[in-house]
Amino acid sequence: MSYKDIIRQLRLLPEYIRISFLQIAENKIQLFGAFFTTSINLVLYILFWGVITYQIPVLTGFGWVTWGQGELTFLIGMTEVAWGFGAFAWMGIWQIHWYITEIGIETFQIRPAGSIYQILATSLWAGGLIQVVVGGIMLSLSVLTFGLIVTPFSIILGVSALLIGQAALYLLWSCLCCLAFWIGKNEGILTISDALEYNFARMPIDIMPIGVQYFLLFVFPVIFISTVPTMIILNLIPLNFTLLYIGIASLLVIIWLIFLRIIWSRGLKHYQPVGG
Amino acid sequence: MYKKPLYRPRKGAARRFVGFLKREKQTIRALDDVTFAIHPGECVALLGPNGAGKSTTVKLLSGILHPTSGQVRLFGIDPYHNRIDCAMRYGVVFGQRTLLWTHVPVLESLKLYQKMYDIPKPVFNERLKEFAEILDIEQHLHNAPRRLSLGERMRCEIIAALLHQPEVIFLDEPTVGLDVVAKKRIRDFIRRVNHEENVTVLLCSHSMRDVEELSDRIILISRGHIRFDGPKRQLKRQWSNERKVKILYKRATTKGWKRQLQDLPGVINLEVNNGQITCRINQTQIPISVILQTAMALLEVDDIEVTEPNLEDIIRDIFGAENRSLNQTMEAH
Repeated sequence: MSYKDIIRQLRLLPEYIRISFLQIAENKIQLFGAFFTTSINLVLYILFWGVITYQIPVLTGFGWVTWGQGELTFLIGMTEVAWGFGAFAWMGIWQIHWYITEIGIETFQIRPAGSIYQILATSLWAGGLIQVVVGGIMLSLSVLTFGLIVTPFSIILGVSALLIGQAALYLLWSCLCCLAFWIGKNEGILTISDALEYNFARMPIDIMPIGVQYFLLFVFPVIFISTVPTMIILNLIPLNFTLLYIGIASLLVIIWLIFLRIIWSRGLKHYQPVGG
Repeated sequence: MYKKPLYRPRKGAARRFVGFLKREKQTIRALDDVTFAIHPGECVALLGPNGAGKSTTVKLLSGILHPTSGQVRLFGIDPYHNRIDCAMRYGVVFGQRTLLWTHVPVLESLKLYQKMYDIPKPVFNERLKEFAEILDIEQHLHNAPRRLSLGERMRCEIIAALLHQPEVIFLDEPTVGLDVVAKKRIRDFIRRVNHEENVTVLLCSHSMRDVEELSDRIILISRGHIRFDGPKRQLKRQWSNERKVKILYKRATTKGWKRQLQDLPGVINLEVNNGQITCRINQTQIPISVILQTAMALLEVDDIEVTEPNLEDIIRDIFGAENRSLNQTMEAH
């Protein structure tokens, strides 16, 4: 794929986003559903952490991070923002194996754009942005209520960490989903991803044993979904560690992009079209 | 070539368990020794029974599949390894799949394709207007495909495949499930694009009417092998010696005329209905002139019409004979 092709494909992104919003406009009920579930989820998380912090007023980290009620509330908001953005931008990865085994990838392969790019772009779900908005409100409230200190610079760094970290995590899942070329349907892998994200992304990771932390940092980088961005935005870790985290996430993005390209191109040779 | 799991009933729990763990697989050659070249501007029909390898051929040519051996060249390059370059120059219509977003107006999908194929806006607007007028779907461009009928949607699909002025278009069952009016409109449009824009067309269709009206050359494919590759007329000459003769007459001049005609060698069947005789003859056994002379001697003839058999009959005969010989071989084994 030439440089010109990459630029042309990036120029398509606003069009895909526009179509995603048009699709949502056709199904408005979905938006209300997303708003409702997000709000209920938030209340449940707040209750959950309320109970925890009632028992232990301050969770002390293994390192220098101390998680008080304010930080935890911020983390809940950040989790919603991260999940909302994930639902918006990365919904397509959950469909890769489905396209390979059931729908067929022909309609993507005949177009002059990368097939995985098209699958992701076609599956952009604007409804996820509702979750981002609700999470954003939660973040603002936690900052105002608990007097957390946030700077524009830390926000930029935190958002960068979030976006790069999500790319690292979801590219890994994309690689695993592409195994469908060889093993057929593999929803089980997606169940693991759900379990990991649900159980670890919304927890202050650094209260866990160091081995688990490394696992969630280098193997399944769930830590980048919300914990790292929260720590960066709230200035809970020094700048050099912030840059280290962003560096690790960027490295993982490059590694998984290379793997994804290799797996996809090899997998295509095993592709058996659906229905002939 | 691909591997297909075999679902064979097994006796005994142990064998079933082994079969569950390790499924037997059969290697299938979807295409074998298939060689052909298509020249610019040609309209070629790829025909064959279900599972013959037609769609696989289209998928190889469009770079979706990679051959296990042999070479595929489109525009002189390998379409699999140069997929994006080739995709900019060809268009595909899959009758069974949609290239449009189901829930947003057709126009929005087409606008995306305009950017994807780098079509200049004036060219896009001009072609869209022209195609929409010809195919009579201007009013449907603002509807989502899910609200359109199959025929309307298919016309939109064809526009989506042709807006970027492709040099080649692959049509895989473009008229499947459509009514006669929609079929005709689509056929006329494809013919026009083929003649006026010199677009090369490769048509896979089970509708012989499509093939009769659109293509000049036919490639017959069966069980992954090419059975015939040549002009439509040659196929008719090569595979069918039959002719259909219609004779309109006022009255008979001789008694027992029907029997006399029926008994001529090479007359396959003869029907008489309201002053019209319809019969099928085998040309290798009897020249048409003999039939005509005999009919004129026996009847007061008003009009005579001799027609070639239609493509559907020929194709049915070819593949029917092939199936019969395969069944015989299997029985012998």
